[in-house]
Amino acid sequence: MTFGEFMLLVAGIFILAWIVFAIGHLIELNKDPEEFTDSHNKRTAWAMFIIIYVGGMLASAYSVWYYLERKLPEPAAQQGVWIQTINDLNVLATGIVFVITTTMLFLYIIKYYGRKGRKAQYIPGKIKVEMMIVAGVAIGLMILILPSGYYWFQIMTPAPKDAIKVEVTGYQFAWMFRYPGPDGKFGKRDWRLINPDNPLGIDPNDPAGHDDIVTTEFKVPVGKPIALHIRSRDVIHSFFIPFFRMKMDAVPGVPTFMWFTPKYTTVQMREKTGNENFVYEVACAELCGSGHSSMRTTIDIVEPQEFEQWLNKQTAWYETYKNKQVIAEMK
Amino acid sequence: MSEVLRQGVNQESAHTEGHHNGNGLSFWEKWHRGESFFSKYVFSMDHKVIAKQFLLTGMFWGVMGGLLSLVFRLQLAYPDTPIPFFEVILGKWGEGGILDPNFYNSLITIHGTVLVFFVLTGGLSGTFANLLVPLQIGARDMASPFLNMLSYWTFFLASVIMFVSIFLPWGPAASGWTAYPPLSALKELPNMGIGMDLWLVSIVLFIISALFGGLNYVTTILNMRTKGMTMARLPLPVWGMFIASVLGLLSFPVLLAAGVLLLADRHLGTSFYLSEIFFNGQALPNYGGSPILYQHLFWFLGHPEVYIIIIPAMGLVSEVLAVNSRKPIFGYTAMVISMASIMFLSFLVWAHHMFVSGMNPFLGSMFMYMTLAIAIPSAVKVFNWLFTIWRGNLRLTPAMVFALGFVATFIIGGLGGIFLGNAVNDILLHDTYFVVGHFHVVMGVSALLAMFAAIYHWFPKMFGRMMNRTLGYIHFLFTIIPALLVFVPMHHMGMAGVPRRYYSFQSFDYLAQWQDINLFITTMAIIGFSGQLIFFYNFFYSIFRGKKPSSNNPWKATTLEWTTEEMAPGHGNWKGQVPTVYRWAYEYSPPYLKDTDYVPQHIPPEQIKKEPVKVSEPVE
Ligand code: HEM
Ligand SMILES: [Cu+2]
Ligand SMILES: [Cu+2]
Repeated sequence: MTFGEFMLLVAGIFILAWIVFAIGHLIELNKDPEEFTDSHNKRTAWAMFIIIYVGGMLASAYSVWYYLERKLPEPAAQQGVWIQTINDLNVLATGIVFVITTTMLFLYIIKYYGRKGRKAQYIPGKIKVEMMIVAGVAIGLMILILPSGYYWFQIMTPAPKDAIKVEVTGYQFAWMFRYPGPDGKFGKRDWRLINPDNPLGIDPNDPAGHDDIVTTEFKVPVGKPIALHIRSRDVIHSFFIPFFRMKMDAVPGVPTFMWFTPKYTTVQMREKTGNENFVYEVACAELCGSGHSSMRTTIDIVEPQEFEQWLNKQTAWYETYKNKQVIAEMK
Repeated sequence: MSEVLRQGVNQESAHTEGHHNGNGLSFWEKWHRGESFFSKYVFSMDHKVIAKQFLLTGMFWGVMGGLLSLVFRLQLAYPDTPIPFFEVILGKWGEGGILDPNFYNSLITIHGTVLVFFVLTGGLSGTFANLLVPLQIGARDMASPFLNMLSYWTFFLASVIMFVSIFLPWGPAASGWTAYPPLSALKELPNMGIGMDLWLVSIVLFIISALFGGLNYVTTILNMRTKGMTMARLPLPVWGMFIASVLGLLSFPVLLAAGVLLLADRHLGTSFYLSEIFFNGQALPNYGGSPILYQHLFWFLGHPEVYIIIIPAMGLVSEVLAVNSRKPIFGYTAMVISMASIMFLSFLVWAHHMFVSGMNPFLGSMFMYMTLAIAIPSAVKVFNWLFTIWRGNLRLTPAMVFALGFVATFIIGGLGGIFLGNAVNDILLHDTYFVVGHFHVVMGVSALLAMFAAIYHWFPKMFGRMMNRTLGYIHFLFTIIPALLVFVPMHHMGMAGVPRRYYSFQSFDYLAQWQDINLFITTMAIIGFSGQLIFFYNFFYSIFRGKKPSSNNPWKATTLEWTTEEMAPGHGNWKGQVPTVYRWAYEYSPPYLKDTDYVPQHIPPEQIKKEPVKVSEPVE
């Protein structure tokens, strides 16, 4: 729809609304606002039932269908599979409760709408019923929460020792990555050392940092646990990988962690989704300023040997840094 | 009725003694009686006038907040199309018809802030606590009418400051209503300068206003109940206000502290929330603070705040449901206990907003369990409402229809909470549109429907006239349908990983498919907003031209507010003596009654026309 058509549509809706409105106003003028006849209550009850309940249920069904057409592809990390399972479990459990309680509500409306000569039943409540509600809900929730209690710690435990470490740094409005190099250790960082040649503030005097690789490209091997060390340089960001169903905030001054085991390479995922341009997109999920909605990066998941090759081709951060310092001194 | 009234002799004070002669009154008393224009309509100390002031201010902010949302909804619907009138209404923020991304953030910030604080806290509890607490407990006014007046005018000042901040050239705050530092602490960022300071000052004033109000409500409810009005006989709206006020008194000061510390970080060079920041090409000296500290402080209020909004709403809805079902509220005691346990648990769940902030996972799991525990009292309430209308004789007034809508939407919102309270699921859903859908369904829709229910129900008490009924139903349909069509799809978007607070979905391949739903949502939002015009017309028309109710108790309710001699009572509420109370507030359709189906709280037992109780007499 173009913007012009859209405005026309909206104007049309307005006009319709005001016609309905004028009619409604006139209808009421010769009525007693305190008189609720049987037929009035009946009409209102059935209108609610049909418009809100039947209409709402149909719309919900449509909405679910619409979602299924557009939902994310199968989670591409083991942790994501657990998260998605919990989510689906919740959909099922709350779906059932939703249908039961909403049906009760609207059935009562069409069953007990007010009629003359009928009297409501005086039921101030029973302690037994309340106890049953509490017990029923508590047990239901307990069952629902049990697997989550387990998976939560599976997901949040420290990464396995043999995990591949990658450091992620968020800044307005992009992400940067650091691999620890052959020694497997990250060099120390200090934000006061940050400058254009040293965007992460790695301490040049720390030998552990000399082989570190700093890059804007994020590549990891499939099937291996990957441990992310997440940091931020300025405001809070959040490293969100929708295809893994995972996210973790990047907080200045407070390092955070996340680990996962990718299941499919980018190439495999292209086949699975039938989308030859598929890439694992990473979004920022914490409001960080004007560029928040374009703070995009991607993960490339590759076969392990391809990863090794790629990593070996990278130059260590310190090499470039050193050269630049030398050049600067010569000037 | 008036004979009955005069029978209850009680707690008359000097306050009413001077009622019929104006001499020898103190300055405050004269003021309180509202004899000049200023003391009657402007700086009034009368709780009913203050209630209307809160209501009108709340309505003003409702329109304002709604309009702001339409602007950013249009942006989301047409992210790459220049919309010419943006330039007209927004000036430099909409140059060439393109909305400035910083201003987009400002819009969502001000929208969220004013709706949460000014509309749903000030407008909802401010209005109905003021109107109903004294009237329903049988008091002539609040414990401190002066503090009450101060509460409104502090709120007014907060409003003015917020309003001014929107129009200043430096731009209104753009940090989201949660104002997380360091974003909100770096005053060199666009729209984070004076706008952010004014935002903080406004919030601080608002908190002070809420504390003044809350102190007053609690004191009034504890000390000023009429004879016979024990706590166990209080109508549920009063219980709701009481519990929400205690909750507010205990949690708002923490936000005050958070705000003051943030101001200090901004201007005094402190490092409460700041550490290791490289910004604007230079390393800031701050070291050792933690942005997470702010989040703890903020959500220690922020979570209770949502219940400060919803608990009064629950109380109001309980009353409307019982009156119009002609049936006692099901499980009165359970209702009170569940509200109290929600209040208590509210203090133990705040970190469910921070599951993925890097918090210790053990802590996270504890907060998950506590959060799911809060679903239990919420479920108790839902089932009690369902059982209240069960076997009732439902009189479907506009207020009743809105109250039923509240129950329906509260179910949806509460069930959404189950997803989010589950820490594992929240790893996916946090800061996605699912959260936006969730809290709009519970606050934006549910609490708002409760507020409308209360307005339709107590309108005669406020203005002495009735609202147009048919327009009420139309308004209901024009509210609930678009609202659900706006917010339910957002749950699906969240599950599909659409992050919230996005200026456009253009930068991501996986978001592109949601563009059409964005257009749909925007259209529905516009329809929903147009529906509110019907309400505004009805409201203002009825103040002046609405039908007069045929009696002083148009809904045939049991509570004391309907026993005043005048429909919209003046100073002191009751001209005669304050009625005495003989029973609870929900004596609807007791089996012993003859001609009517309710017994007001103030009717002495000996005056009830009873018929011999027939054993076994099922209604159905
Ligand atoms: C059954 C009860 C409820 C549960 C278990 C629940 C749970 C949650 C959780 C866990 C979150 C955090 C989501 C996230 O940011 O990742 C959340 C957000 C929120 N909830 Fe609820 N909720 C419940 C009811 C309510 C009610 C009744 C209200 C308001 C009237 C409410 C208002 C909010 C708001 C405003 C937010 C979002 C704040 C923000 O991030 O901007 N919730 N809820
Ligand atoms: Cu961001
Ligand atoms: Cu919360």
